[in-house]
Order: sequence, then structure tokens, then C-alpha cells
Amino acid sequence: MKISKINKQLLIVISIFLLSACSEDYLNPEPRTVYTETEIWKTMENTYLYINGFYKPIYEYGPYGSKYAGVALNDGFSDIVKYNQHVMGANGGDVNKTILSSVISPNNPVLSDYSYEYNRIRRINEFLFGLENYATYDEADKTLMEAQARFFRGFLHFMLVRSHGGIIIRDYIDGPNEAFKARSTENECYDFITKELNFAANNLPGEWDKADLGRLTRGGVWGYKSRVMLYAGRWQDAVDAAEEVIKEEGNLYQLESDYDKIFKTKDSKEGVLSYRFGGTLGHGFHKLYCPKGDKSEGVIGIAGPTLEMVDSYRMADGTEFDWNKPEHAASPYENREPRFYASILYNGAQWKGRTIETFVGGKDGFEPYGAQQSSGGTTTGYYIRKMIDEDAPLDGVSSQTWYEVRYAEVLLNHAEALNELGRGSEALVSLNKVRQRAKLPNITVTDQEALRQIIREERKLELAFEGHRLWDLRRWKTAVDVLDGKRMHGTKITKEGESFIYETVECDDQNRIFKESYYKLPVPQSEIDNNPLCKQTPLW
Amino acid sequence: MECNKRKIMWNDRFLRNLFLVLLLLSTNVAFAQVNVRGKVVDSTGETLIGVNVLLKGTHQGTITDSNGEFSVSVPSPDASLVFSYVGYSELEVALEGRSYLNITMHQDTEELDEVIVVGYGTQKKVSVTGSVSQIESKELMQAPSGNITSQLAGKLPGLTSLQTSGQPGYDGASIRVRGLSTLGNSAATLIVDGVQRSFAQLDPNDIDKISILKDASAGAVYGVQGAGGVILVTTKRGTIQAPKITYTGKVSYNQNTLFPEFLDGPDFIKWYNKALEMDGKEPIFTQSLYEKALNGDPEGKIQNTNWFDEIMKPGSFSTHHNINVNGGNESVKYFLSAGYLSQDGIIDNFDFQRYNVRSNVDVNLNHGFRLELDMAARQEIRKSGYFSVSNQAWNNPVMLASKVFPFLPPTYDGLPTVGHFNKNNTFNPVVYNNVGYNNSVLNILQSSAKFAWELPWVKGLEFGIKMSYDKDYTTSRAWAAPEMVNSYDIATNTYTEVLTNLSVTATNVEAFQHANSQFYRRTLQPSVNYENTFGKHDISGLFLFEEALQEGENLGAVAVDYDVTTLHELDMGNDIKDNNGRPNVWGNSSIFRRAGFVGRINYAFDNKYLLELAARYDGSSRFPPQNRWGFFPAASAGWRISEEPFFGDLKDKIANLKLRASAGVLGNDLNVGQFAYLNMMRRNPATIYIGDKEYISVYTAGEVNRDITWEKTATYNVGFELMLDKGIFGMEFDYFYKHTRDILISGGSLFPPSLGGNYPGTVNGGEVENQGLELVLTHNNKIGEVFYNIKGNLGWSRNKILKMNESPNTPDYQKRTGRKMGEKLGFIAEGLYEDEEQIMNTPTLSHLQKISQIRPGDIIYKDLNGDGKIESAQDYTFLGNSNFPELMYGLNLGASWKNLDASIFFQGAAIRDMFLSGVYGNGAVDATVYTRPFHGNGNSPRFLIEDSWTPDNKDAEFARLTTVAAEVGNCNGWASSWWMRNADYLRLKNAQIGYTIKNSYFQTAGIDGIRLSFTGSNLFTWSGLNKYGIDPEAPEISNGYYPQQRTYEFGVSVTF
Repeated sequence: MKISKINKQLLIVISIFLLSACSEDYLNPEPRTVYTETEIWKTMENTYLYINGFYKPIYEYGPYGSKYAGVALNDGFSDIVKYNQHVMGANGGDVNKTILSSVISPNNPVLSDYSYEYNRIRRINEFLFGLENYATYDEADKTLMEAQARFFRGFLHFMLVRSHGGIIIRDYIDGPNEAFKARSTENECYDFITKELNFAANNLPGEWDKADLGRLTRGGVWGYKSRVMLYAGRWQDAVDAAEEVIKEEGNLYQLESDYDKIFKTKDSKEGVLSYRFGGTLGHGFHKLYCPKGDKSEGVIGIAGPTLEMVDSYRMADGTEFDWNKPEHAASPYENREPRFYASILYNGAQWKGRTIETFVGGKDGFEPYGAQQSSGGTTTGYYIRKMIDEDAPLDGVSSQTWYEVRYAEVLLNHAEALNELGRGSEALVSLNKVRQRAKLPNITVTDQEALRQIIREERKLELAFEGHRLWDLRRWKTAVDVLDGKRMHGTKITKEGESFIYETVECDDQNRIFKESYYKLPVPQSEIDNNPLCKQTPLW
Repeated sequence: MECNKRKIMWNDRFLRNLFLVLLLLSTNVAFAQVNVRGKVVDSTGETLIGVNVLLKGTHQGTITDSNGEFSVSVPSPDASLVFSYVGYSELEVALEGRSYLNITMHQDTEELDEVIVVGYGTQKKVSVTGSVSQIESKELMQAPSGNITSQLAGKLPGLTSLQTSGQPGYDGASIRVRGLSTLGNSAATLIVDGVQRSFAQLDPNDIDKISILKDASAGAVYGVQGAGGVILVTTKRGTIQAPKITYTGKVSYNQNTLFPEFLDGPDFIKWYNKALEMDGKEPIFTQSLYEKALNGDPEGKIQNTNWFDEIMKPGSFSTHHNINVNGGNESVKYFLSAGYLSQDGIIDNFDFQRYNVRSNVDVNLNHGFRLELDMAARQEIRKSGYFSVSNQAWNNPVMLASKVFPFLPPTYDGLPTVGHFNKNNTFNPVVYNNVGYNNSVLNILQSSAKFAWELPWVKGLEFGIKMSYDKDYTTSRAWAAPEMVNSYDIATNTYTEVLTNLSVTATNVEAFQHANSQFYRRTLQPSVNYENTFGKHDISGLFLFEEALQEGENLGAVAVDYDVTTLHELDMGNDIKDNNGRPNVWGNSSIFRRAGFVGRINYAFDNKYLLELAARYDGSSRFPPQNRWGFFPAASAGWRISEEPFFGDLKDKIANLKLRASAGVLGNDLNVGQFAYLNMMRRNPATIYIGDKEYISVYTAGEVNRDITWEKTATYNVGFELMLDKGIFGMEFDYFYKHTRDILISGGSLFPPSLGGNYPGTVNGGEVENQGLELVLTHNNKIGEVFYNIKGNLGWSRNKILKMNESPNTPDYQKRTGRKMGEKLGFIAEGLYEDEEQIMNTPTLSHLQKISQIRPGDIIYKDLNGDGKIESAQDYTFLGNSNFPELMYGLNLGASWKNLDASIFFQGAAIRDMFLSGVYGNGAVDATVYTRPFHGNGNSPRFLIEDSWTPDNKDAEFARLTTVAAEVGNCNGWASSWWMRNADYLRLKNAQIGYTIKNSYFQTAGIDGIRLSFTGSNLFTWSGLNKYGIDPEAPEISNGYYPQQRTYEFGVSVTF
């Protein structure tokens, strides 16, 4: 009796122990607040929220993003734009440090965003793995998703190749066990990129419903591919891709009648590959790059076109501008081609209901390079007009659409590729479409070398400040000639009574550096250190 | 029935005594029937005067006279008397019919009888084999009221502390047991009454003991949480006695220990102009301005103002009240306590209030059942201005006090003034401190019930189950509204009224934040205890299971733009959008679970050979399933040599000599976040505009360590304890060695970036060793009627990084591997440039121009790699120690004579260095107001300016006087040995004088005793930084912080 009482009581105590000696589930609670990757595949809406994150690179490399050195204008690394800041820092100081001194190194790979690109690639690879293994959607839906993802995988690999030449292709969810992988050749990389872009183009719609406007289209991919193939030197592929877009001329795509309107229109037919903004989503290009006189305080007007760019714009009749001609020098900003007025803010230009004053002591200020610290003010005597949203508030965002690929570029890609194939007369058709919009006379030259120079010059003018110039100089292998050991210039304007005195001044305080080795940039040292199969780029 | 009757009596007495407290009137009735007399002597036969003689269970009693004799009336010849006397063990004597008693009292050798609180239990100090230090409430009460953590400095050997702020409610010290043993968080596990809880804000009157478990043996029962040491706090419990009511009231006056003196108005003008002159610039301030600042300005526009005095009062008051009751009988024992603490800040709007209520009740039930029911509630109310006075906080009022011109009046034309070289600047420290508030109320409920059953059939076996539920609820409310100020323009000598820009909202409107966070923790601890003696074998064992669940959640919102600015509620605001136009509300929740099996066996043979085996099998939801459970064993042994027969006659002289040693492995999971083993989704706000809608995006974060595990620390400890008879001399010594592996280090740099983050962001790869020693020396003695004691302790620990993740490109002299944690990195300063020629011939900072940016009086840096230029990446090297001290020591001197007692406590720290310039957590280095003249174009400490390098003062302590800010070419802002100072210090941490009044007049009034005390803390500080007016515990990044406080406290304690 007594024993059994003890037993019973012991039993109770022991059961309490056992009850509380919980199962594994006790230590495996559902995560709170944070969600795991399995959420992506629960609904199609979730999946699309994931896909949404792929799109940003479309604009991030252009002026409405700030991909390299923390600034919007890649052209600041080329001959056509000059940043004003002369001490290190994000407002262009790092750009000047890069072009004026030898700062590029495996530990400081400027003009590359290696980790970012591979991080995005990793997300896409995870996505494609999940799509294959977890997604339960219709094949058609899955293909549409795959096409979007693979375009961006190709896009990001191209961004890497553009900077470094041949790079490591990551086309599967490589983890710690796959850490060691060698670089592919540039040619192999372009094969891979071509495969990705072709899959996307072949599986995407030509256009989407209104509710899905802004998603990737077939034409957008072909347009982008026509550019990529120029970098690859695969001229026929470039021509073919461009023609996939050109065949939709008048239907899906069309040049804006007026060059000035392109970056004032939100859903222009000139846009082939676009990134749209709206709602709270916007960019602040107009805030930092508008002329200093727009705002009484704060940092503003941080970069301007060089005189080299400004002088490139033709006279309205297509002839060259020349300071040595007295009539040109007396009123240098009169009677120029329309793209000049659409792209450049010069002394005397009308802007937001006032007159631009870039003369010494003027509202928009001229300050020689190195004189000011960070508050802005032009060192070249010019500001950029193109792409600046005049109507956006200076303390808010602009929702102007970014056109990563414009129809005009596709035409120029087409012309360039045809000329390289020796089909100059066919090239003239596309080239002259672009010139006609700029109200310039048609080109009739068919000599390959002469036409090559004309097309390249047209590209510089048509696509100014859109982030092409540096990369074009690199692929043409003309960057050393154009940039190394050179100094760029500006115009110092002095007001005397009612007239102005124009003086050409240097806007660099030392010679620029662009070495042969810059054509293929180093990969980060941490890649070399941790991946023995990866060899550093030659010359680094 | 018996029980009921007792209860009624108890209630009766309690109420009556309470009444006494309130009225301070005597209504006590004596039940005197029998008269008892006697004499009290000590063990040497000397008479003892003033011994307290009490009838057990009552307040009734007397004290011995000058012959050591007493006479007292007792209700019955069976009663018992209790004798107590300072420095002697309390003695209880049953009359057993005697009417004359010869009493011999023995001196207290508490060190031997001391009971030590260990994990999940207690042990007698003599039989402890692990390394444990403990202090009792008596010692705690020698310090002024306030945060307990800051009072532990120097009290417990092996405890390292650093108190960087004196702000009420935030004046706790960061404390570490045996220094640092990991690269990440080394914090100790805090346990109050057996449950994981913080203790800093307990009422010190409620605390019985605080002990720290230092080695693996003591900590093994805490398993994965044991590596950083464990701090155990036990609160007081009832004792079998008549209810003893104690009221303690304290009032204290606080002031800054040290604070640097800044330039006054005229000197600022003079020196700023001088600095401009040295920069080759024209003076900005006119002679007439100087004279107005010096002699006054009839227009009232200029005045010599000390802005620090405008925000800091010369002193502030605190009060602390506590009333508690301790009593009980065989059935029920109780300790009830209520406390209130109020601390006013030295800066307006900053204060702290705390309410503590506690009830610890023990009930003995029938059949060997026992119940412990503990309830504690606490409210902590913290108030501050909208802008915090944390040394890294922007718009910090203390920092801003150095930013305004010191030659402006505090107000002009009824409005606070603002003046700065940058006209858009609207800084005024008083305004920034007054534009709003940031208040929080923390409500805490801590409750535990333990049901224990001592099995009647098996001697020494007890089952127990303890359940605890703690809940924290915090409400915080913060308000900021811009105010008008009068902005001074030097050029025109005019004021303009402008609205302060608070940079709180994009449009500078009112903002109100209301946030709640709540948290609960549920703990269940079933346990089995066994303790028995078989002949010479003492055996005890513990088996326990513990599971703990904690869940928390946060909710909050910010509303902006108020029309009715007096109603601070969310729904009175016009908008809840943040600066990006998104709703400014948040809400999230968390969950965390632990479980563990604890076992411990103690065996002692003949009280001589001691052995302890302890282990915990521990599981935690922080880890992936395959790594969820870990085993943490430890063993220790002790040998009481003094109990050996061969010790023979020595035994009379040496009460205790014990050797002990321990070894074991403990864990640390503090550096692992929740669900760190899962690839998490992150959310990006508005990302893309599709159709006519904007969409967010989500993405996977990557960098997951799917095999993440805890850090493991192997700890070895050897020590000995020596106690001479009667405590005339005592010594304890410990040496330890800790080796920690699997420390989480960043994994990113171990994998190629081309994996895009599909690799562990952290890996368990670091290793650190830490060794040190602790020494305690005690001396207790009596000379004539003066009892005194001396207790000195010292703790030293030195760590070394054995393995961490460092770039192979780091030069060897910058590698942390092989060095101590927290060593300071910077340039080696070799002096100041004397002239331009020297600059031209010396390597200088590569990004600065010689002569135009590097000038005479600037610091010469050593070109370590000899490449002809100075660059931090190549020329930084190690300069000195961390500011976290390596050596801490304390010395307590106590004495009592009759009713007078005094104690003095010195506390010091050594082997630490401090940068006057700051190195931020992210490694960024910046000058501070202590190193760059006119930092941020503001005012500077006098010591810096007056001993800056000028052509007339080439032998200066500080670099060139200048107004040029660092980013535009001042070469002196970098971390360098020029700005490093030894930060060893010694403080007179506490001093107390107490007087206990015991006389029969009070006793007939029902008052057992009154004690008056004066206590001071931080009374003196000796340190090399005194000459600058900087407290040695000041934070290194001194953007303005709440200074450490010196306290003078008067206390009264009345016992009924």
C-alpha cells in the first residue's frame, strides 16, 4: 500500500519530467517577422514580388542610377562630362580621383560592381532552381518567369564582361563547394549571354497588357542584344537583333519627332527597354545636376559637359563649329543643331523661366576646377539639360522614365554593325533616320573607315550623357588616344558690360590617365585569394 | 486551528507594528512575568558592552551595560533569548528555567560558515570546489542607491566593469566576468532567484547575495550560456522571527565627477582669431566684439555665456525609500518590500524613477510539501529630452553646448540665441534639450512558484517543480516640435528670428512617436535533489530539467504635423508618413526557446576530499536541427588539507586550507541571431512601377551559415583558500586559463565574391585564449573595542586572439591575430613639425599637400613601411590597450566602534588606454572636440587650445592651433599615438560613516534601532586624465556624453 503510493507519486513526478522533456518541435518554432525562401513559391503574387527585384539593373547603370563611384554619370570617366568636386567623395570627387590618378587596383576595382552583380546572379540562380523544383504553376507561366529571369542573368554577366573581359560564369546555385571555378574566355561568355538573351527574346511577348506595362518585352531584349553584340564584335548577330526591333517601326517603336521630347515623355515609343517610375518611386537626377542657380543652398550642379562635348554639336546646317571662325566665336551658342539646345545649358539659355548665367560671378557660377569644395558650380561653364526633369520638385523625386535602350540607339547599332560588315550603303539608311530627326543633312559617304568615324561621332552626340561614351571608347579601343595624357576644357566667360568674353580653360589640373590595362579591369583580390582557379586579368 | 491562531496573531502584530511606523508612538505592551539576568563575555573572557538582547520572536529586549550585564523580563521560563553584537555570531539561548545566564559570544568567522549561492542551489563555502565569488547585502548597502551594476566594480574579484554614462536610468556599468574570452559578445548570464532576469534595477534592499560563477565547474549547469560567466542574485527571504519592519530613507546630492572646462566668450574670440591668423586668414571677430564679451554689451547682444552651465545644473537630488518586513514562523515565512527611487538629472528633462514591490513567501505544508511563492513588480520611468545624451547621438545637447558661440547671451529679445559660422545652423543646446521629450515606462512583473516535496520515506530526497512567468512591457513616447530662436549674424551684429531645424521630419514639423514593446518569458524547472550522509561520505546530487520560452513583440508609429501641439497622441497628428512618404508604423514579433537537462553530483569524503561532477545537455532554437543540442561537462576537486590528521596543531591557527582545481567546457550562443541558419527573405520598399501601380520586391539575403553552432570555451582553474583562526588573515587565489573556439567570425572574406553570397556569412572559426588570476586578502581584527576589517581584491585577465579572419594583404604589424582584443590601431606619432623645411623632407599623408595642407605644428607620423608616404592602410600599427581594463582591484577598509561604523572603499583599474580622438564601432576614425581645435567650428576645451602648438608654444602637448576641419586637409584627425593617454585610475569609490542608535527609550517606543549614515561615492579620482577634466570612464568617442556622477548621500534606517 505504502509502496504503491510512492510509486504513484513518483509516476506523477516522472510524467511531469517526460511531458516537459519536449519533442524536437518545441525547439523548432515557426520563424517570426522574418520569412524564409520557401515563401516565394506559395503564391504567384509572391513569385512576382521576387521577380520585381530583378528589374532594377535596367536603370541602375544609367544616369538615373549611380552605379560607379556613387554618381549618376559614367560619362564623367570619359571626355564628355566633368565633375566639379576635387576632393574625394561621392559627389564626383571619386570620379576625378579615378581619371587623374592611378587608383584602380585589384583592391579598388572602380568601374566594376563585381559583388553586386554576382549577388544578383545568385538570386536569379536560386530562383531558377526553385522554379524548376518547387513551383507548381502552368508551364506557360513558368516559361514567362524563366524568360525574365534569364534575361537579367545574361544582362548581369554582360555587365561583368564589359568591365573585366572573360569572367566566371555562374549559371547554377553554386555554393561553398563550388567556390573554385575558372574564368571563361570572353568568347565563351558571349556565347552564354547570347543563349540567355535568345531564350528571353523567344519566350517573351511583344507587348503586355496595360496592367503589366513596364515588364520585359521581346523587343527590349532584341534591342539590348543589338548593343551587346557590338561589344562582342558579332556584327551579323547585332544586325539581326536590331532588325527584330526595326521591323516593328511605326508599330511598337518610333523615333520621337523632336529630340527634346524623349526625356520629357513617360511612355515614349522611342523606348525599347525602359524602366518606369511613378507613385513614390522616382529618382533624383534633377536635384544634383541642375544648375547651381536653381537653389540658393545645398549641393547642386555637380557636373557639366566639357567643352570637347559642347564643341562637337554641329551648326544647324551640319557644318562643324569652330572657335576660330569669328562669327562662331562671337556668338557660340547660336544657330546650332537641335540636340545642342536639348542637351546643354549654356550662358544665356532659357531655363525654368530665367536666363542661365555661367559667367564669372553669375548666378550659376563659374569656378575654376579645384577652387571650390563641394557646393557645386560649373568648372566647364556648362550644365546638362538633357534628362533633367524641369518640373520635378527640388526636394522630391522625378518620375521621368529611363530609356536604357532607345530606338535611336538600335538604329545606330544597326548602322555600325552593317558598316563593320562592309555594307555601308545599308548602314546609311538607319544612320540618316537618326540625323533626320536632328534636322541634319543626310550622310552619303560609304567608305568604311570614313563612315565608321561618322557613326561614332553621331553616337557621341545622339547618346550623350546616357552612359555610353566611356564604354564605347573602350570597345573601340580608342580610349587611350582620347583620354590618356589629355586634359579636358571648359569656357570661362567674363561679362563686360552687355557683352561676353569667352576664354577656353582647362578643367583638369593634371593629365588624365587611361592605361592600356584599363580595357580589361582587374577582378577583386578577394576572388583571387579565395578561388585559386581564377587568374587575375592580364596586365594586373 | 493552531495554525489559524498564529496567523491571526501575526496579522494583529503586523498591523499594530505598521501603526507604530506611521505614528512613531509606543503602544507596546509587555507580557513580563519572569525576570532574567546575565552577563555576556567574548571567548577571551572580556565583557561585551552594548550587546543586543532580545526575547525571541519579539522586539522586547535590552542591551548589556558597561559591565556586560543585562536584565530582562520574559513571559515564561521556557522562552529563548537572542544575543547579537556586531562582529560576533548571533546566539540563541533557551532559558530552560534558568534566571541567570553566563553567555560567551564568539567572533564571527563568517567566511567559514558562509553559504555560497551556486547554480540551482547553495553550498557551504568550505566545500565549494569551483571558482565562485560572492558579496552580501551588507556590502552593497555601503554604496549609494542606484544601479547595482555600477556598485559591483572592484567588489567581486574577477568582475571587470566600465561605466561610461552617469545618466539616471542608464548609469549601469558594462560588466564582464574574467574579462573578454570571445571576439563577440562576452556578456555574463544573469540569474535572479534561479531564473534568467536582469538585476540592475532591483532595489538593493531586496538583495541578499550576489555571486559570480567563474569557472567551468560552477558554470557547467548553465551549459550553452555559461562561457561568459554567470551572475547569480538571490533576494531576501523571510526568517523565523517576529515581523521586523525596516524603513530606509536616503537622500543624495549628485554632481559631475569631472567635466572639461571650455573657453569662455572673450577667450574663444581671442583664440579663434589667433587660429585664423595661423591659417593665414583674416580675423573674423572684431576687437569691439571681444570687449563686449569681456565687459558686457549695453545692447544685450553679446554676453559671456557658459553654455554647459546653461544645460547642466551644479547638482541634482535623488531620494530612495524602502520599507520591508521580514518575519515568519515554522509554517510561513515572508519577506515583503516596497521601494521608490527618484533620480533627478544634472541636465533638465533627464530623470529616472523606479518603483519596486516584492513579496517572497515560503510556506511549509503537511507531508513534507513546501511552497515558495515569489512575486515582484517594478516600474522604471525614464525621462529625457527628445535628443539623447549618448555620446554617438547626433544633435546631442551636450555636444551642441560646444557648438554655439560662447559670447552670445542665452536669450536675446526673449528667444534663445543661436550663433555659428554656418548661418543655416540653428543649434542651441537648451532649445535642443527642450524641444520635446523621449520618455519610456517599463513595467515588469516577475513571478515564480516552486512546489517542493521532501519525500518522507527517503531521507534527503526532494522533488521540486518551479514555474516562472516574467513579463516586460515598455511604452515609449517621444515628442519633438521646432521652436523659434534668434540667430546671430557676426557680420552685421544683428539677430534674426528663425525656426530651429530639428532634422526630425523632412518638413520640420512636430513629430510624435508612440511605441510599445512587450516580452514574456516562461520557465519550467522540474528538479530532483538528493543529499545524505553515510558515515564519512557526504553525497548530494541534482537532476533538473529546464525549458524556457520567450516571445516578444513591438508596435509603434510616428505621427507628424500637429495643429493642437498640446495633445500628444498619435491620432491627433495630420499624417503618419515618413520622409519617403511611406506609413511610419512598425510591428514585429520574435520567439525563442531553450531546453536543457542538468545533472550534478557532489561527493565529499570525511570533509577532506571533495569532488563535483556537473553537466548540462542543452538545446536552443537558435541552431539548426543537426546542431541543436550540445553537452557541456565539467569536473572539479578539492582537498581540505587543514582537515588532515598530519595538520595537527596547526589546526588551532589555520581554520581552513583548501586546494581546488576544475576543468570543463562551456558554451556561448549570444553571438548567434535567431534563425541565422535559414535563408531569409528581405523586403525592398517600392521597387518597380508596372501598369499604373508601384510594387515592392522581396529577395533572399544569402550568406547563411546552415551549420551555425555555439562557441565553446574550455576552462581550467586552480586555486587555494586559506583562513587563519578568527579571520585574522584570509587569502584566496585563483588562476584560470580559458580557450574559446568556434567563435563566429565573418565568413565573407573566406569565399570568392563570385558565389554572390551563397556561402556562410559567418563561420565558427575564431579562437581566443584568456588567462588571469584573482587574489583576495582579508583581515578581521579587534583592537580594544574597535573592530576592523580589510578586504583587498584584485582580478587580472589577459586575452590573446589565436585565430581570426584577416585579409592576407594586411601587413603583419596590423594583424590582430596574436594580439589582445581591442588594442588601439593608429599612426605612431613622432612629434610635431617644427618648420616647413622639415615637412618637405619627411614622408607625409599621401592625400594631403605639403605646406598648404600639412604645416608646422602638425603631427609627424612614422612611415612604417618606408615607402615615402603615410597611409593608414600601410602605416597604422598597434599603439596601446583597449579602454576595457585588464586589471581591476578594490580595497575595502571597515571599522566599527560601539555604535559607530565606517567603511572606505577604493576601486581602481589598470592596463587600459584611452584615445582622446575617437574610433567608432565601424572602425572610422575621427577627431573629437578634445583633439581638433574648434571642432565643427564650435568651442573647445581650454586645455586643448591653451596648449596647442603655436609659433610661441612649440613645446606644446597638442598639435597645431587651426580652424581647418579634418576632411579638408587637417592632418591631425587620424588615430595616432599623439592622442592616446594612459587611462589607469584609482577612485575613492565609496565612503560611509554610520551611527546606530539603540537605547531603551526607542525600544519602549517599539523601535529596535535607528541607523544614520553618510555615504559618498566617486569622491576622488586619481587618473592622468584629471588635468583635462575628463573622467577616466568617459566614452572614447566624446561627442558629448552624460558625465559620471559623484554622490553624497544621507540615509536613515529605522527598524521596528
